[in-house]
Amino acid sequence: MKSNYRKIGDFIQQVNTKNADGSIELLLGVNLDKVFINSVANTIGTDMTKYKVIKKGQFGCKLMSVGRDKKLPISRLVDYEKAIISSAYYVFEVVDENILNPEYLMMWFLRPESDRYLWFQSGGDVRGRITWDDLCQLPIKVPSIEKQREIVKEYNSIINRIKLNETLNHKLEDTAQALYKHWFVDFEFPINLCHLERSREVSIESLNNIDYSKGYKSSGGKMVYNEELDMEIPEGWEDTKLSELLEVKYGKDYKHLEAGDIPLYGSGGIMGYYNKALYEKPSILIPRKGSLDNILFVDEPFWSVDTMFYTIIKEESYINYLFQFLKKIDYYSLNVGSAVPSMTTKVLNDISIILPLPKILERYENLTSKMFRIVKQNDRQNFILVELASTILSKMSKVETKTVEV
Amino acid sequence: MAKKAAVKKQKSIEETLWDSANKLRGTVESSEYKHVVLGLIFLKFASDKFQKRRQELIDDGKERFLDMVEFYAQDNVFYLTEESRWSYIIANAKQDDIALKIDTALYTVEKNNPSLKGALPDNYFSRLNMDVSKLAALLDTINNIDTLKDQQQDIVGRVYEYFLSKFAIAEGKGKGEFYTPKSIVNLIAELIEPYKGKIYDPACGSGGMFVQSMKFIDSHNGNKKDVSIYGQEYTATTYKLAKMNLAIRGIAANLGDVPADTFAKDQHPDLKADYIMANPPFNQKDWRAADELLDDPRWRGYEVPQTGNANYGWILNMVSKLSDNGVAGFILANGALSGGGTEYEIRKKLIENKLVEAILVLPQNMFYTTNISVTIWILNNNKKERQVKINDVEKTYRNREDEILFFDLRETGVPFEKKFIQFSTDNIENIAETLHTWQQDSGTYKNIPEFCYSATLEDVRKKDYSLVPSKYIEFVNRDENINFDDKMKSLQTEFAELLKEEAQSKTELLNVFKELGYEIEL
Repeated sequence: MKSNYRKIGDFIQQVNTKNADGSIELLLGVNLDKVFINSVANTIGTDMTKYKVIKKGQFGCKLMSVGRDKKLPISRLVDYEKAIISSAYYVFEVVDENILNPEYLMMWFLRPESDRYLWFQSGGDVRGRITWDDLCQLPIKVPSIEKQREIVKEYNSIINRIKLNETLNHKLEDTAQALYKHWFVDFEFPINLCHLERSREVSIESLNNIDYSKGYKSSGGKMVYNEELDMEIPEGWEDTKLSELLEVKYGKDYKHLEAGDIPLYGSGGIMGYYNKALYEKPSILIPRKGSLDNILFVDEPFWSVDTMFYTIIKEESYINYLFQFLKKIDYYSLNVGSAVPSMTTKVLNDISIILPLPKILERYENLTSKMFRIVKQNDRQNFILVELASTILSKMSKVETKTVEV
Repeated sequence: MAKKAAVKKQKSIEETLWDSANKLRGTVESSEYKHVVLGLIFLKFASDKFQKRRQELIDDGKERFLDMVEFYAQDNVFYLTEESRWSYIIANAKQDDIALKIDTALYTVEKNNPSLKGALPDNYFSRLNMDVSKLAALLDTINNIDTLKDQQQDIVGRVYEYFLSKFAIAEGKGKGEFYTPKSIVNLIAELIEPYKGKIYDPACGSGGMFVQSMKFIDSHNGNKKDVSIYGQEYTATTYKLAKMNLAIRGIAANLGDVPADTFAKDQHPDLKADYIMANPPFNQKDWRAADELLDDPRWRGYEVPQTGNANYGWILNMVSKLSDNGVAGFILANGALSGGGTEYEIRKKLIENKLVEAILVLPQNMFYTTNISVTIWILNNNKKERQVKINDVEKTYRNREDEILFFDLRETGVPFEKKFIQFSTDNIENIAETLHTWQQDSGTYKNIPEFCYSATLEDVRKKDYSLVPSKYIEFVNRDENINFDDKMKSLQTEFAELLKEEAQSKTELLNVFKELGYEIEL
């Protein structure tokens, strides 16, 4: 039979080195996203000399639950020189990197079709395992080494761009957070904003003593004691209850919903996509049970499960301020649950919040909403880039290769 | 604002009954409780049928035969004496000695009706020490089952089956082995079509295979009188369940004189069955001692199955009991498809003896008791060309002695009870039709990638007699069918838009930093 597919077994070899002298301590595992992670296994009292050594550039994979997970946990070590890995893993390397580029091979494993093929092979085993031989049977297209490098380069530039966007987003979120702290915790907001304020009284006297080159507090802006908040706040600022600014609502059971493209949020984040929205306007989600500090900002229609509160924002122009405020709260100290950390609407409604002068808030919202618009754009860009990356992976099956006799 | 009352889903009778019966469980173990509930349902049903027959006799002016057992037995009705009637139990439901009264009732029914020998729980209720008020409330719940309401509906059968499956789910891992999920049994029945002759199940559990065979015959307008039933069950309580389960549906069966181990104490040594359906225990260890059963006639012509796993013991037990045209459909753990040693030798001979007709790998999570992967085997003693009239339909089987049909059903099925999978009616029809088409007409039959493949014996020899379906069934790389150009064009349009927006927002962002006094120089 003629085929232009080869078998990966022709290009790889197992490496079986034990951590005999126990010198390596970094213990890794591979997850289903095909990424190395620090092992969470309890190793107290375990003999670490039985573990396998994996070196930079080598692959580690686990064959025992491919049938159940429908995925092969596999990754190539790049971030560390050496690590150890449980003996349940197979460690292997490419025999000749001038024939098969290891990064190209890793890309081949990232294709969902490789997972599906290996899952298909797991059918005969009672627990859905595959054997090393099954793995070696995986068909692969191997074009010239130059072509392989070209494909790897294309793919990496997409992946790098995704990472860049992610970093950008983190930085933008950090900036919004830093600005919040600077203005509303340290009260170092730009002093000239006070002049713009007309709705409330600010004494002429306090304005006269101000050093305009610094922030409000360090330039001597007047601070007054607020009883409710038990702290000094800038003159003219007020306190209020959270319930005045937003309404906390219970999420709802989603079991009757059908699949769709509206995100479903639980306290851990997006749990799936369904056909109906519980609320359509921008909202802040607050976990009711579980990881209480996972506060989320959503500005598209969504559904939230009954362990996740959603909020109706009464003052929409305060939303970024509210989001940063809610993120800073130590929910675990307010926890009302015993075994599972829990939150109630009463606790949330009763939280006191500083109400800055409207002009200052308006400026904060204005600046941060520009940042968040970019965050959102980057997210959308990444969504497309991920699709582009997976298109490049699936195109690997169509690459031109020489036909060989098998 | 007035709140709208939530619309509640209408519960079926089975569900309502289960909910109320289960509420009354109290401290009784789920595995024990099934005998309580199912025993009482049996008594209620037997009693209702008795009363109905009795009324018929009165209506026909045959009062003088009212207490003659024969006048009931001829209609498959059990004759009940005064103290074993449901009305008597209910009248005494609030008494302290109700448990004893139930035991007496069950004992008397069994004593007066030979076909129920060994079927009913024996002194069970008195030993259980159930709270009297709970027992009374349970009796009340069961009293509400109108067993005769709709003859066509088989209410009792439905309730019984529902309870069996719910108990199997409740007992979960390691237990609940008395029950094989209904859709699998259905599939086996549709595959082997047990219309006529002797049906045998060497590990019959609660008798589900027989019940399903009867339903199969019913739904295809066959005649239930054309089949006779043989079974065997090892666990004493399950043996009783089977007897009750069959009695309640009026199915006559020979389950052997006693509950017994099929290997050590075969209850049907001379049986030649036309249809065998079974779900024997998976991967049973130490099923025989090393020096036991070495020259058992059931292994004749084959190696003696290894002591470490009973799978091939079960296979050979069934093969030895197949009639000349007999067909067997049974479930085994996947390991049997490729096991080595004596398993390999036996499998090789089964294949070379042209017995293996089809192998079907099932999805995970079909069983309530385990999540291991299992396979349906279809063995056929006569794969030669022949013409048969089955249920008034002429079938022309082609010669397929040199072929085996493989199925991979791991991606078939629909969710059931949240964490389980079952086959839908459409799934079953499609699978059965594929097998039947292949058996009769090789022209219409087509191999379907990732679903089915007709392998030749030569193919199987090349794979060293492995019966793992994925070794034969074709896998299709879906990437090869993607239209790369279309995909890229749509991505190109979307990305162009995004990059334009990006350019604009970048200017904005630079302004933000400038405004804050931290201008960015690029």
